[in-house]
Amino acid sequence: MHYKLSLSITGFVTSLLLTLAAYFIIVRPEFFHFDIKIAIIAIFSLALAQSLVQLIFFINVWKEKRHFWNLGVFISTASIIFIIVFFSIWIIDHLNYNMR
Amino acid sequence: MDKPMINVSDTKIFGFWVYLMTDLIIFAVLFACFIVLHGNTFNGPTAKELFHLPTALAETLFLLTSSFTCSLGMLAISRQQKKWAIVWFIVTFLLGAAFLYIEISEFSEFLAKGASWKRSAFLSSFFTLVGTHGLHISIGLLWMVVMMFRIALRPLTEHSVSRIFRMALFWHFLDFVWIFIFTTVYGIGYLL
Repeated sequence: MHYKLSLSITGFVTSLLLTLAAYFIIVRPEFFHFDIKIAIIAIFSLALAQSLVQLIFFINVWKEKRHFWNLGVFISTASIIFIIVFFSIWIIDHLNYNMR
Repeated sequence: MDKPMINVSDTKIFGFWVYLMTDLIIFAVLFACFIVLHGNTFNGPTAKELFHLPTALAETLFLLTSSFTCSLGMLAISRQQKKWAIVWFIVTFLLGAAFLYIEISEFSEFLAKGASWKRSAFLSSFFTLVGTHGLHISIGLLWMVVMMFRIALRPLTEHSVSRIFRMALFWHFLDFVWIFIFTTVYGIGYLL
């Protein structure tokens, strides 16, 4: 357990700002002259930043005695998730394209 | 040479972390399913017609704030302040309950419009993904009530602090998953 008040407040404020930014892009993409592709890339970058904020400021397992193992399991899970999600989208996209 | 002491709490936290990561894989599969199927509306309502974005924003803000108050509760625990810990966990519980209430009323609104999980592949994958997250939230709320009684009735030994820490970890994890639901389900659904 390594909770600190300053870390929690920083995490909370940053996560609020990131959420509101993502919301604004979703509701009014034309404000930034974003076409849909760029808007989607933007909100996913914000979500990635947001998840890093959550991992660093709230999910405090990185300073436990077994932090190396925690990190190892996390990285292998992240790679499994990348394989499942990215390649599902890739395969089905091509399938849709070829069945048209 | 001294053998290093094996700390049971550390082992349990590691084991719980491994569980959370496998749970994350379940969510990843449901996310992949939703992204693949989100266009297949079968002439039923589309995401853009159905979703009300301010509601989703309200849910996100409730959950983010509850994650923050949960960490304040853990701060009180690490300072051995039982009363403040219970106060912050009650606030966390109320925010989580508000989130769940909004989600359930959103679901019943969809059902009243005839947009149930039977309508199209898009709606099936939507209800499965968001419903699984809602189920986790309900279990998290139940666990939080149990932990509040534990804080009130038992002394804060290292063993019980480790238990409470695992509950807090679960709660932060649900917040982490919700960020991706907000972006993927509501963001993509609204933009495309």
